[in-house]
Amino acid sequence: MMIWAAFALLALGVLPVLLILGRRSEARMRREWTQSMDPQAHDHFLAMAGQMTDEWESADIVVERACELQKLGSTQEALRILDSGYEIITAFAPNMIALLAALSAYSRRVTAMAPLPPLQPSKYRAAPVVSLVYINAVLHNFLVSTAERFRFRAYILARCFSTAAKYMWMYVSRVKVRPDLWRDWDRIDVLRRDFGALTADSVEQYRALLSSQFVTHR
Amino acid sequence: MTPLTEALVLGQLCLLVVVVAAAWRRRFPAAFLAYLLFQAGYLGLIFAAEHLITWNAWLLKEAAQAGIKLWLLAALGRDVLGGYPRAHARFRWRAGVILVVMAGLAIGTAAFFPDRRLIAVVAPMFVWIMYGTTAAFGLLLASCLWHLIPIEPLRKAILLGLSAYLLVYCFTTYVITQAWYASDAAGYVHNAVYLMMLVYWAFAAWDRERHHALLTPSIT
Repeated sequence: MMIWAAFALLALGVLPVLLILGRRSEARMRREWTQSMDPQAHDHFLAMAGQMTDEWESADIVVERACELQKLGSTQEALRILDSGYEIITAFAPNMIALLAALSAYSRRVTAMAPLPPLQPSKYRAAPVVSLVYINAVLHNFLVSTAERFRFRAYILARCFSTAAKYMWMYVSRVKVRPDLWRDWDRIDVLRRDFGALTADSVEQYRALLSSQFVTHR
Repeated sequence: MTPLTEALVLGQLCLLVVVVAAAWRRRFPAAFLAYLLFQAGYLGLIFAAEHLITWNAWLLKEAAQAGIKLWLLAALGRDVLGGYPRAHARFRWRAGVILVVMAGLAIGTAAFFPDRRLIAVVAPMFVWIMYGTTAAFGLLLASCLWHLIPIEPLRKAILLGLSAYLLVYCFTTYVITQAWYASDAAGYVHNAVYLMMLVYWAFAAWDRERHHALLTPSIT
């Protein structure tokens, strides 16, 4: 019985690895390693961090302007601008989630990871985001290696982006039907600020990985 | 030996020669050559003098093969992960833990076995040793997957082929020990899978173009 159980465990562990590794392209793996070890790529990657911030700032300006216009009483204009701002966010949030997933996968290549502080709950205001950030702040202390902390932080950031985008969609849909719901306009403003903080923390995460990678390979 | 088994053994022997010849043209671990030569020797013995293959000879063969497999595991681990110190260090201590646990289980099983004949004591030990070796090969593959480490095609073929074969070997050996009436079927399955592994290795060893394009940093 014990040997059967051991065999079942062995098969369950080894078979998926064989299937995944059998289908993996070694040429692509090698190409990615070569690219990541190229010192000239460092500047390019740093420029990408700037692009992320710029992309968020354009969405931030538009949503902020929509909230201001609503306060001034131009509801139709505010809704129109909010709509375009929301469109930018719907493209931005999945990109950031994909980027954080890629960072998490990439961190497995780095020999030594630069330490990162846990996410600060005081920087966030929307309740669903704050609760996730608290989880990170607490569990951060229970993880042993900096690489594990890095991946957990990236996971929480991705969850925060997903949650914030979901709530943003909910509030934007509600104010489109009833633009007089002031509380929802305030919540949109709060989420906008949280998106900004999330972007800043993601960029910090990205830079930490870049510094670890290029210090490791020098 | 039935005609079908005879044909399978002869096919395996021929394929072993092809694999050795194809792999000879490039750098490969000495342990792999030792494994192939050992297999060829054992198959040759089955083919030429089957009456010499007794239970004790089988035990001796299994013991020697377990040693060669561990040597091959260490050599492939060094070749594939040698250029990545963190991944290599992690692999070494995890494989060590697996092998120590399996050795403990093997000794524990043998110590409490009521039948004190050599074959009855040692056969259950080999089951655990085989499981440990398969798990350690799986661990090496999982390390490459987790750390996104590229593997040179011949070494990838050795690892994938041997891990899949060992998994089937664990299964068929256990079936033979538990249900003797199914031993013929298990033997055919084992021989067929072994033949498939050799075909896969022969193709991987022959494919020289891809080999040159995909040498890993640890080998270059």
